[in-house]
Amino acid sequence: MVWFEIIPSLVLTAGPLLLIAAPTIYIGNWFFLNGKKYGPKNMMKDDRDYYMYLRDRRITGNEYYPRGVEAIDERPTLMSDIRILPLGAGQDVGRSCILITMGGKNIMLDCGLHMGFYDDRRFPDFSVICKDGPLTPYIHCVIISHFHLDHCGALPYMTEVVGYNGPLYMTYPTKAICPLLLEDFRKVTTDKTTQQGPYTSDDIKNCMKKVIPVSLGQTVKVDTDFEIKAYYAGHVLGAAMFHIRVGQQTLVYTGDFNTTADRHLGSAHIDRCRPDVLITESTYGSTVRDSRRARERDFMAKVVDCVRHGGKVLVPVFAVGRAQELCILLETYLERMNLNVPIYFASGLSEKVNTYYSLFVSWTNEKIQSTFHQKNIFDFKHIKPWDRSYVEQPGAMIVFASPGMLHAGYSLHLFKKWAPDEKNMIIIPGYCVANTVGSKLLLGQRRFLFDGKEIEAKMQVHYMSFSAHADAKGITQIIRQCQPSNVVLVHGEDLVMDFLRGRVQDELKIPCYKPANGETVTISTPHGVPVDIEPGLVQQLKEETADVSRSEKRSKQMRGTLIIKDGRLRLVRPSTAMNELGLVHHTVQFHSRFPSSINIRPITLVSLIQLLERELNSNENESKHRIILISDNLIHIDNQQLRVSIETNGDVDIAWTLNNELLGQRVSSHIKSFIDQHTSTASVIIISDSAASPDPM
Amino acid sequence: MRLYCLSDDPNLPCFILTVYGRSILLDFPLPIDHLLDYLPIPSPGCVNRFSSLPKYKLLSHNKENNLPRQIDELRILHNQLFVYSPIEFYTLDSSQYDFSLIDIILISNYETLLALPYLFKTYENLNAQIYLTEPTYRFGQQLMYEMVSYVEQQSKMIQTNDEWKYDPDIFDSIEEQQNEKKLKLFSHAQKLMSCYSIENVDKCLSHVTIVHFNEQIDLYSSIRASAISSGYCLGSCNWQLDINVNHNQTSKIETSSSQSNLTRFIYMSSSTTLETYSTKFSYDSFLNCDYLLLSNLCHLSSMDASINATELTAKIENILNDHGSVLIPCSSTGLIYDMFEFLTKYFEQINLLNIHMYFISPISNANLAISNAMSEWVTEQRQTASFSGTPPFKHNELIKSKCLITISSDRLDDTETLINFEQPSIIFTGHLSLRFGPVVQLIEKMKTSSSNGIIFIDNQYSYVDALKPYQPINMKCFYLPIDTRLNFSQVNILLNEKIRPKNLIVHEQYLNDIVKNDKINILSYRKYDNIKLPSINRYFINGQLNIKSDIKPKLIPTSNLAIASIHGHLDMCDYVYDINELDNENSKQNNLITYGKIDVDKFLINLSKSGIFGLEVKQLNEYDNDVNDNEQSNRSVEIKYNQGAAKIIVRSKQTDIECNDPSLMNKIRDALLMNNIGTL
Repeated sequence: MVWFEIIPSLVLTAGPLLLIAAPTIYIGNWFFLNGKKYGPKNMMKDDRDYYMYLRDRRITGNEYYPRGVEAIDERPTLMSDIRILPLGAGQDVGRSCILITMGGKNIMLDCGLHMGFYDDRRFPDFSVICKDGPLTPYIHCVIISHFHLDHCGALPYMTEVVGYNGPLYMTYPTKAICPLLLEDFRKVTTDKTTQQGPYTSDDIKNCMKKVIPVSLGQTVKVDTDFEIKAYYAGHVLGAAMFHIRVGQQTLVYTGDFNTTADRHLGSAHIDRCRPDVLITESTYGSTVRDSRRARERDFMAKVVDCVRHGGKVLVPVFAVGRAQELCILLETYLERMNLNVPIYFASGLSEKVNTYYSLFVSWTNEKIQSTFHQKNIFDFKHIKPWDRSYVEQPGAMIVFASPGMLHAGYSLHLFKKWAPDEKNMIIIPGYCVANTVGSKLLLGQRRFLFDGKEIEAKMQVHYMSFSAHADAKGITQIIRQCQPSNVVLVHGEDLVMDFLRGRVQDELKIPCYKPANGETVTISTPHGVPVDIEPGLVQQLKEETADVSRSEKRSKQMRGTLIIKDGRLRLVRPSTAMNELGLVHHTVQFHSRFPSSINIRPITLVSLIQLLERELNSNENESKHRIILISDNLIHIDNQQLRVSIETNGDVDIAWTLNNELLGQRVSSHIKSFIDQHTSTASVIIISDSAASPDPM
Repeated sequence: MRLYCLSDDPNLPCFILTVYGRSILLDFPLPIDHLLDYLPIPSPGCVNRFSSLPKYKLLSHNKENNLPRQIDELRILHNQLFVYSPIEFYTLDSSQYDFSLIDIILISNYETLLALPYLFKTYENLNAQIYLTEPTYRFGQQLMYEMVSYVEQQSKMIQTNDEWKYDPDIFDSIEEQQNEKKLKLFSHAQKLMSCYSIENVDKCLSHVTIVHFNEQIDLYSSIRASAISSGYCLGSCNWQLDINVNHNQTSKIETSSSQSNLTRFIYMSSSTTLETYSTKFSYDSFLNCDYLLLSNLCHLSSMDASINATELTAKIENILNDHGSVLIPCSSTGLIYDMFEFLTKYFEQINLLNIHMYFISPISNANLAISNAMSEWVTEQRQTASFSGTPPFKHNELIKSKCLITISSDRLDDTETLINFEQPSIIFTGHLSLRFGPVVQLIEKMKTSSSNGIIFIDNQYSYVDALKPYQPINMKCFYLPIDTRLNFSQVNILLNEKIRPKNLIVHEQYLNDIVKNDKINILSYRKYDNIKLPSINRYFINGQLNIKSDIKPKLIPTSNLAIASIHGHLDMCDYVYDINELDNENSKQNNLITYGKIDVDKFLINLSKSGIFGLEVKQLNEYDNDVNDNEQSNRSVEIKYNQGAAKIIVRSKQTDIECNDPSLMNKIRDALLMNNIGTL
């Protein structure tokens, strides 16, 4: 297994960094994270120019598909590129927002926000696309992969505040759950006194109205020759990978995905669709995680240990996703162990969240799907809703609290209360974006300043990756499954990407890119222009090459006429084209006529064939000409393309058409010199008929 | 392409389509038309009054003792012959076709797959993939389970042997003695099989591939299938097959025009334009399709389902006001969801409170749970509900408020009397044929009181025949079929004004009711017909052109198009025709195609420009094809230069240049091509 070799080589390359976090390899990520304090890089001027250029293209209406003849010249260059510009998630985790341009369509993949910032930097910089005014003219389609805020958090801001009315796609469960999380985020961030927030409740509602839901596998036609299709991604309920096709260019965006099935979701899957570009997340691109079973055992052991000593366990989770998985785990475990500890679920979201799982059962794993009509696994018996008064309640308890990165809400509130007591424990089960309390805690910071009050965290801190992201093995697995021509890494730390990129390039031999925020990657994708071929053309070629060798077949030239009409290209036989257009073929025939004197010695065609065989077909490197003796006084070369005939008066007539000028001139010069020689030496050399070579054919 | 038709009943569609040597089975329903020949059998623990019915006496001619032979399995009731045995089924497969060769099975809805376990049981080598939608799969599975458990109950009640089926004497003598008593079932007697088991069901369903509406499935490189919503029930679909006729591949390249080399075959099964709870019927992609196979239309011509629905509510209201109970035999899924909501709404309107609806079926709870999980398959309106976290159907609410009571048991004991059912009540249960399931006891109990009523909302069976074994009955009896499928008038509008298929394939029964149209070629079929579908030529192959250098297309203003000459190699790679242009400029230049006529005057000027003077120009009076055209430019002209160093003869369709000097020849050629003759 190749991927198990990663760890030693990682230690070699990033050894000093990793030594600190040697026991738990994944902590390496958090170390990398610390190095990246600064916000996104500034946009490069080039990109602004590029988008201005795109806008200009829109205004002139010069779209990629040929509408007239003018378009055809620039089309090949325009079509053969896919441009990828991350506005977020480029060498970074959080605020996923990737702009791609393929086949003249601008597509935005995800529109997330950054949890680590509290000002405008949390949103992608939409001014790159357009300085002011709505985005609708510049973006053809927005696709949201799943409902996590770092993938959809900026959506209401984009559609309502900046302005976008175009198509907007997400899966059914995402459409259902997304507004809950957005509303939750809005509540948390809106200033209580000034009522100022990133967007309003109505913005969220209006935004969700624009969403077109898609189902797994369903091919959605966005426009002519522009299709998207969702694949199961497993990460959270409704997470999807999107396959996008514009013309012949194809791209797969994985969003966040998980290749190992967990307690409530299945594993990601994709067809062998051979896309031109695969944009994949790389959150855990440098780690190989241990088995889920071991992790679950570990988790339960820690929880039970803490609870036995009367401690309180705080598990910061996001309301949907990990929460359900851990709830199922605790529920089944407690039922078996007969442990009587209160479990609470504290979330700003309503109880309803769990009902979404039963409404979208087809998105869960197979086991739940096959049994859901007998027992609803999401009806938890032991897990009770949280009440604020429980904070002061003495004794052991287990609390799942949102949000998962400890940046606001219940989890932060409980953390402040319980952190000073060393009996208590916090288990962080997922990824924490840089700058959040969660990530600081994981990086070893123990003193925090909240509202001017310093709190020292004495509680036990554990990190256990229940994150539903694919690890290095999973990412390669997906790459192998779909066999892309190029890989682009997003949604990961810079160093992790470096590592993964090395692997992809060395082992899978696929070119791999890792654009930073604001940096455009241009990937050329050689594709032809779709064209309708006349079956007769293929048939004719088949007949012509029916009895020739393979190498000759390969070198066989096809001659066709391209007819461009109303943006449609047709390749037909020249004769068909002439007929269709009402054109009359005009033959231009060249003749060379050499008089030869009969009275001395008539020239025989046999001797001419001999001559031409020698002169034309002796060179090994050139393709052979077919010389056929039709009658006593007529030779055809290459299917009547050139005729040599002897007239009644003994003149040698060579006739060829315009297309065979080279051959014609060559043949005529050979024959001319032959005749000259012949007449001068006719008396001396006697060419015997018996010496004539047999018919070459 | 051939279509093999396996069924004689258009409402029991079953076909095999063969394309490029691949066999595609379209639907495999379970025929249940013979069920009425059976006697009803109550569940264990109930009084079985049918067991004491007189046995059929066979007058044997050749036996030594002239005693009539009694056949335990054939009973006489109301002077009619009935079969007294657990229900058995026959299937539509025939020995004429080797079903183990089937590659693909496409299923339209959960009503048309119930015989599949038999297929996988009979043909062990069959390794076909079954493509169906998720609701079809889930409900289909439940319906099979229901069937299995009902028949299991029956076989607990009576033990029979099936020797009689293989005794030809019996059939002969029945024919002789009482011709009018011949049963429909007899023609299938030898083919009858006992019901499949749960294991058979599971084995069959392990071959399932679940698809979504509009998902493009590449069956083989030459066929692409997609399920298109038909609106009839949850997950019901029509199948659209795109078949490449020119070569064995469906190109991923889509042409911008309507011209593509795909032939579109549509298999239309139960569809409805009515808005019910399921996703709308969509036929946009069917327009101008090449083949349309039409089946499963509504039996009742021009009957409006909504009229019967209003009448139904009126009848129910009457019975309930009369303190009676209503029995509605129906299928355990489908229409029933509409009924629940429709009736509750109606009761609220007329202020009829405390009505209890009972839903009795072993799969009642499962079906309600499944229907609520299918939020992606319902109408947009109901989808919106699921986005806000409420299930698409109101079952849960109804159950909570005790309006709807589910009894998920496969039988009703005698002890469970109707008194236990809170009056007034409406009872939904099966089976439709009234031959097995809880409905048998319920009729036995309810038929005594004239205040009770039974309402038939399904039209698969004649209700008179269905009720025959139960006679005499006192309860009221109504026949108000609700069939939402397309009827002929709707289909005719759809066919002639919208879809306009090139070829229409229908059962011969439908021929009289389909309005003929010159543009539609109608093919009719009968059972075991093997139709060769008329082939359709497509004039183009999809390919792709790889241009290396710029093409300089020539604009032809008269026909508003542009043309360009292409020289290259034509390859087929990964099922795509690829034309790679040659780089060679030389060969390109020399490969000109010339067309049009030569303007002699211009040619002469061009010649003089390139230094060729002293030309002798002579009009030729040659015979020309264009005799009528006397224009100067069409005349043949002979041009001589330098006493025959070069001789040019210009005719209307051909120009001959005779010259022995290559450099002079080049000059003449250039003069000829320069701004004169059209080149390609």
